[in-house]
Amino acid sequence: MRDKKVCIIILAYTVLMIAISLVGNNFLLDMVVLTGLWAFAAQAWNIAGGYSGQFSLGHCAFFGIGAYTSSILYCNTGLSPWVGMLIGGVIAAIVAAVYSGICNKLKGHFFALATLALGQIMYIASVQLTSITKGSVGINIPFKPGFLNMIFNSRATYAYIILTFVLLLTLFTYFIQKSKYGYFLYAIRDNERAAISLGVRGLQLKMGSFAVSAFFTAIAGTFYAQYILFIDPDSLLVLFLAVQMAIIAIIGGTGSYLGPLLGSVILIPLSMLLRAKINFVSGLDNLIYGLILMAVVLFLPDGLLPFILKIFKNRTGKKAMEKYPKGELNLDAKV
Amino acid sequence: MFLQNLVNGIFVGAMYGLTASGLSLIFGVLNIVNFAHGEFIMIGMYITYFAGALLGVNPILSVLISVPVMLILGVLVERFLINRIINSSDMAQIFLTVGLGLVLSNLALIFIGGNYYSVRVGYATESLKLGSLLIGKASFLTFIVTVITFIVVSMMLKYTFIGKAIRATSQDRTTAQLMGVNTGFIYTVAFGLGMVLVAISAALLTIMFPVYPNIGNHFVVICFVIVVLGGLGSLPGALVGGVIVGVIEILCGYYFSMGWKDVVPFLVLIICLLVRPQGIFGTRT
Amino acid sequence: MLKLKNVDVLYGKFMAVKQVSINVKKGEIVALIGSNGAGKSSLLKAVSGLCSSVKGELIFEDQDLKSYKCHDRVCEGIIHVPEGRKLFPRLTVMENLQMGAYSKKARSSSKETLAKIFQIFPRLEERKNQLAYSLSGGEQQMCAIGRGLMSLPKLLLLDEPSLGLAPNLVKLVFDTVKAINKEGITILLAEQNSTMSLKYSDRFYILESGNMVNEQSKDSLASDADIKKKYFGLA
Repeated sequence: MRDKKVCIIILAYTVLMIAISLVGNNFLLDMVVLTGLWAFAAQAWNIAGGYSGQFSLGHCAFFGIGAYTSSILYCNTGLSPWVGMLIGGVIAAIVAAVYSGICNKLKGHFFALATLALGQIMYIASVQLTSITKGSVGINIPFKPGFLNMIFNSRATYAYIILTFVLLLTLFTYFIQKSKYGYFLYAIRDNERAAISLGVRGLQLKMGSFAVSAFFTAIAGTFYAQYILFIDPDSLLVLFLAVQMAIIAIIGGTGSYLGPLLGSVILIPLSMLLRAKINFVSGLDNLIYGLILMAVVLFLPDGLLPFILKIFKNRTGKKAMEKYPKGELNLDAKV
Repeated sequence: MFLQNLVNGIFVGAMYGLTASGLSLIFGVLNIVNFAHGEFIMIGMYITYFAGALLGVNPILSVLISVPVMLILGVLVERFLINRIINSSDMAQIFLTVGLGLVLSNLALIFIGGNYYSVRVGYATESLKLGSLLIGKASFLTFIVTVITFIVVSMMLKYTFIGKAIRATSQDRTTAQLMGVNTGFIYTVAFGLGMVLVAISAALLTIMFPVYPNIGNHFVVICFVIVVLGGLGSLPGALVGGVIVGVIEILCGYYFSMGWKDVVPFLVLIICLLVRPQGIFGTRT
Repeated sequence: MLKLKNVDVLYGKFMAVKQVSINVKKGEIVALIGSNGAGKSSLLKAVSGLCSSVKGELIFEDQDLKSYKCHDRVCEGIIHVPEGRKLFPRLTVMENLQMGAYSKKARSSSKETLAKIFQIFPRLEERKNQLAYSLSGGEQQMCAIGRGLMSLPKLLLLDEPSLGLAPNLVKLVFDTVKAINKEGITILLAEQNSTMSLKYSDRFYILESGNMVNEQSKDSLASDADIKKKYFGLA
């Protein structure tokens, strides 16, 4: 491993895994699992929203497809959720590719509207198709612990799994971002027409990135179902869920593979603490989500990550300045 | 029976159209889709509800309170929030209003609570007989108010100086500036006017629907469908789009199952976005 | 009347106009000549206030223009007829003209001005209830100039009035410009059509990729063979 950043990511992962094995507190483990889950989902959203500029408000549809596919297969045929997870991912990817292809010409606001409609259609479908989804009653997944069933006694196991997922997806996005495809996607996001005229295959790349994004979102859906062991339309297919993925990515910073992770690490523990400590006021956590989102959009449109990096760099810059007070150091060259 | 459904559809649809008109007007002038539109409807409905519950004001007359309140709210939101992102990226524009919507609905949840409130009016259950048609008094009344509102606003846009400036700004904001139009002021006026339309439509909706913090989500999607159908930015388009959605909804509810009828507007939305993204009355930009 | 001194116009980091100084006296027709991308439009936009990042001095009738916003400059008597007409496509001709008289000062006398404009452009009166996008190119240019005149300007900024017009219409437009000038309105004109501008203007400035190359009056041009050859194709 020559790549320094990859080493840091893997080191952070290892430290976290060891830390989890030392934690016995259930609330804390729950926090780790959910933070990981939402980091994963936001990372997945960011592949479409941040990289290729397809601001989706319908990712709850893919989350739902993943959760329902694996759960229905598991409950009815006993198929292992590990396999069901992949099947759900593929279905979501196909739906996403087709939908992105259909909506190819829609930009910005209109694309957001169209995806919002997709989420709503899925919601209504899951309520109405009672013979398959059990409608608004929801599906209870029987508690039978076992690795093949993807159901575990200890929350720590869930934490290990989701952190590994997050690691893999982060490395995946990191390599995408560094590859030529990353540049192609940025080019499409910033000026699609110019990119296409330079030979970038706009349609294929947009469909592809949306499909990949949906695939991973569906995987997050399966994990969620296996963790909560209960799914229904109101917990999976609501607009807020789609908005939440976007919020986490945007608050962290949509341009980078670290943004969604940062967003999740800040927001999920915060909202969980609010919900646990100030439980007499419902809605406070979402109110704060909204306020933070507005503040970030208004004052830090690139998200918190570049802001924090800048502070960090300034500080190291200052230290360097103290070391070399006479200005022997060329700061510009270093930053 | 078909005729009865058609008439019901038109009545409901016209009201939907009015609900969507504010969204459409704001998009037309500011070029911003207000994803917090549903939450503004929710606020309007609460004002009407509380005007009735606390002061005994009739829902229709409650507009005397809700219109000025919403106007002020709209002006403040435009001045302090929307104004700042008018030239920003799509992402900023979409997610500022998404965030605002979250804030407003959760403020309502925190301060008013999650209960469903409905206004009871005496005429809600009475009907007029017109040949073989039965027309609910309440829906007849809302229809009249809707039509009057549409006519007044259309006339205002057509004949007054500020109305012309609003239309000119929506067609070409740069040139409007060159003609001496203070476009920043026009944005505020248009947003305020949009909020007035929201206040009136919310008062009418309160007669038919209960109000709760998340009611906005229910209407906002219908509004999006309507404005995309009629052409974002077009007022007559909003009315026609509303009527189309209303009729489709009622007819589908009658001939198919009640549950699936909700899918139809979305299918219409997707088809419309594909076939004619500028809508029925919109023009390509 | 209008004095620009060492003006820079910036789009982000890109400098479209560098250190340009021009001077327009009352009652003149002054032309800015240069090819596509020379910075003519940017300079006009700086005067009308459409470009906000402008450095240098902008003086109009002894007032610093930079403290006025775009819409306030219209009240002060500067009107900009933009490149490509830019009529409001879905307003009628009449409504377009009325938009020209939006500023308070012009609004009160808009009826008289309108009558005058219909005198200059009788075609516009015939078409007054038509939507603007349905006009022909020449009619659109007339409507755009008429709309500009509705604001009762002291200084008319004309950006490429001959763009996309047939030669006979180009002459008509320039004749109209001259006639308007005779009414006492000062004109600053940006044109690629250098021969026509030369014929109709009192003085001209030559711009090349954002820099001012030369200032000339008609008489001084006669002695400058180089300029003649390069910009006007005259030997």
